[in-house]
Amino acid sequence: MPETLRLVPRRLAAGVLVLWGAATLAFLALHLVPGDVVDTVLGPGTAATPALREQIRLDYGLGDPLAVQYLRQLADLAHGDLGRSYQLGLPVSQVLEGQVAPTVELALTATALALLIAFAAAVLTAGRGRVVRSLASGLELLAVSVPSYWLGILGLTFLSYRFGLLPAAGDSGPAALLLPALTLALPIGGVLARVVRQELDEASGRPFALTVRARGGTERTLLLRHTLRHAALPVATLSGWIVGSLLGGAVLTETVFARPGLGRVLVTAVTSKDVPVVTALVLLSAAAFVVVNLLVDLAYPVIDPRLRGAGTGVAV
Amino acid sequence: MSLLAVEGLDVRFGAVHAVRDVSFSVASGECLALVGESGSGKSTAARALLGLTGPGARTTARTLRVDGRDATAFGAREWRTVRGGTVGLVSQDALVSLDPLRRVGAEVAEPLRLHRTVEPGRIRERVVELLREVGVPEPEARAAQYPHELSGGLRQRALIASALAAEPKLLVADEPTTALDVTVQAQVLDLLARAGASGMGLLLISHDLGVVARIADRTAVLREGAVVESGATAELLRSPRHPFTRVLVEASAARPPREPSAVSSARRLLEVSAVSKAYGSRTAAHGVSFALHAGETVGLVGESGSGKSTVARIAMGLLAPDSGTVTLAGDPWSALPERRRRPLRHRLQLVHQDPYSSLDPRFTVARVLAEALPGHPDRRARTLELLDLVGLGPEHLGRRPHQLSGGQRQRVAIARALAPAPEILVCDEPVSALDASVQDQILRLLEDLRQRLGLALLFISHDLGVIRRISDRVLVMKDARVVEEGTAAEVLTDPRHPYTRALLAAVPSLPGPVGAPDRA
Repeated sequence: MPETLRLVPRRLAAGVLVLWGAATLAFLALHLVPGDVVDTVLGPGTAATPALREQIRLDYGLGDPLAVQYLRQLADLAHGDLGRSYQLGLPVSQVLEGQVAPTVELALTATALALLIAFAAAVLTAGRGRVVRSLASGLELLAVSVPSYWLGILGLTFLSYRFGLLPAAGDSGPAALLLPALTLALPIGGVLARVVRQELDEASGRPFALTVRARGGTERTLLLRHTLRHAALPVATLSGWIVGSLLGGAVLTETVFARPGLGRVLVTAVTSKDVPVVTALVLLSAAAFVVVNLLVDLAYPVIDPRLRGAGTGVAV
Repeated sequence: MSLLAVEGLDVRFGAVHAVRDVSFSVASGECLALVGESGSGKSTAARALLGLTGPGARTTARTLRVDGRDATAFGAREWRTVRGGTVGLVSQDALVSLDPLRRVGAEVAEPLRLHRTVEPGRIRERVVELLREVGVPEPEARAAQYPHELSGGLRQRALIASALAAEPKLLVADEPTTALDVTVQAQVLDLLARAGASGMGLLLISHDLGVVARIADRTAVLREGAVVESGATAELLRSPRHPFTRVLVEASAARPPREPSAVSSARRLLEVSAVSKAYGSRTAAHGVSFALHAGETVGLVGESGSGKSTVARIAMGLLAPDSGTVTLAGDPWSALPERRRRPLRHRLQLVHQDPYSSLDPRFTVARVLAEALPGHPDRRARTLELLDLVGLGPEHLGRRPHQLSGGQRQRVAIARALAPAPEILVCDEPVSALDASVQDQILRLLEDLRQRLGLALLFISHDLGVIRRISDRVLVMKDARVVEEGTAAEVLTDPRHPYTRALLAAVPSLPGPVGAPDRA
């Protein structure tokens, strides 16, 4: 698929623009928020001498005109320097170090679980009678509507405290991962199940499905060899939304389950107005969106050959 | 022994009785045609033979024997051995009947895997063989392609190859040529006729009597779910007994080109001079020239992709030609900036192919027409006048498109086009989505409007039969060029260009009230 691969450099360039936009917005947000950055650096309820305040101002370059600060920040970012945390006094990269892996682990496990839940639910209920479908649909709605932290608390109450099946907190191995990942996956799986089932039902009503049945194919043949692949398309389309849900969900889940990870770092950084850390996390999220969307664009033509560029042309 | 025996077949969808007490049979090597207009129940009857009427249907039959077995007692497993194995289905609309996400070869191979008619190691080989048998060139390469990479004709062949793969004894072909150009249509019909010659039974479902005349031994005519007449095809088409069959035969009989209308004024309304248009490396129109005079009909005929719609859009001033000019009543038209062309646009109006999608589904007829009469002093009177012109009455004013029949919808679309009192009507395939009897009415209406209002018609169609009926002059387009031009009588009775001759020969039309049908 050379046509598709040719799109990669262009999309990467566009991704850089997205990151620049994200950095700019984060910078503007910081300077539009009322209050003195120095107070943030000092932390709440701390009194400091004007000399100390001036020193901090100088250290962080806060005295320079905004434009200079902005350009300096961009230049730093371009060199991969994410700045220093106001709160911890450490380079941001050090703050994030060790936090990325647990979150990625959680997100990937949750994605896998969500897809499993979605496809299993959809496959088991597509084309079934009204009762089964209404029941499945109701359960999905419940999974989507219930706040994930509440699900997490429920899981903790029963699976961890009451029956002691799974660990309640920490990141000690796969067992500790299961409950938070499930908490994160359920609402996503609920939405995806509805999307997948709708597509399965629609695809099985299209003319090619009649062809498959007229060849003597069973409904299972139709599903496994034909319609399931059609259902993968809308799921790919929703990938951006999935990433968003994962990032948002990670904040809650990591807090409820006392897991290390970016979500918790974000909560701490936001509550203490630790802007360099927040900026770095915004950039990281933006980068995740860019990469995932690029992967989705590459996945589309793999799933649907009709999207493989115009270069092949129509044979006569 | 007959391969298929059906007696008293009924299919109901809730309160709708789609197929009523239908009986027919097909023997080995025989071709039976089920003929009828859209909604007559012919496709539903065909699907009942495969047990595929769907979950919402209630299907009953006094007798339904498939290859000697009683199908009324079939369970799911038995039906599956029949489907593809004993009865193959070429379903309607080949363009979407193959899974778009799978390779053509995999689609053709599926019945082989399902029915295990060849051992797994030989499947590839057999697929290529099947594709070759149905006349697909370079079958190895085609098997590796996806359906969208194939032309309509090739997709239809691949679909037929897949239906034939497990060597069924009966082939059910539901409108197998509707989406195809006439020359391709002729080839596909020959292919089906050949399959019949090898002893296979063929059940052909079609709305097109021309197609039926070409290959069917016997024909049954369906109307509103019931068989109104059946018999040997030649006999049935020569002397139809039922009034409905007569209407069908009448509507699809070949007619002599009509007398050219007297273009007395010879006022040139539209002049297209040497226009060319290319999309990238593909030429859509090359050096096309013609003139349209007041009160005449120019027919523009060609197969899909020949460039006729491009020419129509250039004539309408909707598309700028790369070179060449269009003038309207002697004044520049294509060269005008859109701002200056807009006030003149009312002089040319367009009638689309599909009235259902060209009418807003939420608008009533009154609103559709009111929208076409901005600032008119007496909208209501003009609306009623327009409806009267197209043969509709005030009772239609409050209806929405889905409450109208296909023919009525096209009448509304024509009324809308007439609203700004145009001098020219550009009709792009205005009847190709309609049943033959309705086609006939719409063509009469257009002819009547031309005479009464002195309209000039630029009439675009792929259907020579339609072009022959309505045109004074005919332009034949092929590969972006006009290959032949002349009066309808010259072009359609004494064609000079080999392509026009091929087109004419390929048209499956009835030979007229006398004489035996032209059997392939």
